[in-house]
Amino acid sequence: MLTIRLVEDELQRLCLTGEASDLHFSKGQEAISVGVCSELRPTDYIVTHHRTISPAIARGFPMNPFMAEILGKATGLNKGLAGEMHIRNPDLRFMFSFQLVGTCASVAAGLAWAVKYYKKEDAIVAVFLGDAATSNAQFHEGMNLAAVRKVPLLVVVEDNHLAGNIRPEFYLPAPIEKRFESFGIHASKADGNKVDEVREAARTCIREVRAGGSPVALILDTTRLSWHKQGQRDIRSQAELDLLAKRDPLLYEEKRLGIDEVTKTKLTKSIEKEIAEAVAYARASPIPKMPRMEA
Amino acid sequence: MAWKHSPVIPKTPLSVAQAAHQKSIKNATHSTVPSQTLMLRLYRNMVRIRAFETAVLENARRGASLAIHPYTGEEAVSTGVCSALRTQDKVVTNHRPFGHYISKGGSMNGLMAELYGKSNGVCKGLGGEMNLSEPRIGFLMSDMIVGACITIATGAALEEKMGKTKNAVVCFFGEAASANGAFHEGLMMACLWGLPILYVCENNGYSTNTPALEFLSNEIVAPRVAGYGMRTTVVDGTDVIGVRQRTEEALWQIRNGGGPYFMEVMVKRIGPHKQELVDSRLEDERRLARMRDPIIAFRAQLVEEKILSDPEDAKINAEARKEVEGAIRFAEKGRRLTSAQAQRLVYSA
Repeated sequence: MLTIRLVEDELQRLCLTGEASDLHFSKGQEAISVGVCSELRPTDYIVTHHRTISPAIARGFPMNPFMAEILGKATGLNKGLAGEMHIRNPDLRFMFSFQLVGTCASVAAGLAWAVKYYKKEDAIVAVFLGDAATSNAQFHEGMNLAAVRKVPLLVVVEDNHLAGNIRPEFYLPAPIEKRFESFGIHASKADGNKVDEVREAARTCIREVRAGGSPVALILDTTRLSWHKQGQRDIRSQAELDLLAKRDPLLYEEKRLGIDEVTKTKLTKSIEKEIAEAVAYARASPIPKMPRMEA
Repeated sequence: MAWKHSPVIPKTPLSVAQAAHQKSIKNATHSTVPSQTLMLRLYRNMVRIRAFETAVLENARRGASLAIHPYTGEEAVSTGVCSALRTQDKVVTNHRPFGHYISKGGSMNGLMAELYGKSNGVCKGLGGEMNLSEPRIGFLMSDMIVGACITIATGAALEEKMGKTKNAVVCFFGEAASANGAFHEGLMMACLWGLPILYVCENNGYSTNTPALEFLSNEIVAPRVAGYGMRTTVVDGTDVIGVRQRTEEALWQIRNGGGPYFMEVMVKRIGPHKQELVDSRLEDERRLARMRDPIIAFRAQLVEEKILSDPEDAKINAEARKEVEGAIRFAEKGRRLTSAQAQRLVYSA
């Protein structure tokens, strides 16, 4: 979690200098990817939304090619052509990420279908999506088919109560769990800012998916402490942000593990060194050659 | 012919006691018990739809170039729903629109000519069955793409709300459309904005020849809709009076600012999905559909209540057949538009 936070801080600095493009940060939501990914097996698949930095690091992406990819360099994981919002790493079964809100739901349903009926693997698919994505048509079609075909799908909803700068009363007419229940998908809720609770809930849900072979939803209440996107003004007041900052998952974790300042500084230093190396690696890398586009 | 609906809207201010009394009546029920005349009118309408379709199918068998999606067995739905509507209420439907069109007060002549692709048709022969439109009678459009009509109807309802009219929009679609993403987005927006719209889901249990459980997580759509916080009701589609009464109640809610309403009507399709398409449902299933024929059920009910006598029934049937024959003659007299004429009528070609 600290790695994610520090990587994001570094990237934000790079955004301001113009080296990185406008990124979507998951500051405040790190506990979800960390908690869920820690419960997944290496053989399980992952599909994510547009906030990819957090799940990617939680899945254990190698830092150098990851950083090069985000900065759009040829040595990146996807040759610098995917960037933040299309990054993938099939070796780690991190299959797709989508910038279009909600698209990941139907793709993940299809992937889970393939895993169960064509590849016949004993694996599950975990899909991360936001609360706003549940208002999308793709989500509806995906969940319907997932429920009909009984595919091993874990739907992790990161409920940050925001769609860009829009409040849920403009995009959610009813609670999210009701929507899952209407498809006959069991939905459980947990606090997404406490990594131990996330792990606990994820473990139960994943066991349920593996045993039943049918989709299960996990709705995690969380807070987004950063802007929706680098360079997009936040409409929330400072007072509200301060209130949300009290729920910072890192603060909670530090208190829970009883980490003192010395350990924290030591950890931070070592991670920062790793990040600095990755950034230097990315900077030294060439920009990708544009492939010929066939019309 | 459009049916008149008379809402109880007092013109003069009421005393407190009067108002309370009115409210208690309204709270009791918002539907009316149909008069004998109305029942006969409903029956006649169902017979007209059936006669129209029978004639079209027969002509198609004899070689006329017609391809339709038969509405056989579902007549009670459109008849019941549209009889509770006002002329200015709008209807948006799916690929199976005759029943809705005739019930909303469309002329049989124009419809038949449209099917024949003649210039005296409703849309001058350019729309055909699946792109039918006659805004004059409140029949906004039919849409062949499954599910697409839902978002379009939601847009029409938004217009009514922004124009502050008291009109309602009715959207007809099948249960297969509820697996479509447009369904999700349309219903959600209607809920968020509290739009005056009645969604009528004609659940015939099959998408072409695929049983509902193969593509829906729940055979009945209504529980899924309740997840949006929308009011729902499930009605038997062979009971035309029941459909009408539920519609009246729903419309009362809608017109009084209660937001969208979802009505699911359980029906059986007697014919194939589309004429000339093989019906691969089990014979038992088809027999069950024939046994649940709404016209036979309603006729038996009317005869038992002594509202309808056999000679009257024969007369209604004969009249309907005559009307259809007139419509076919009307259609055959018409001429097709030339390509140049047709191009002048469309936005882009």
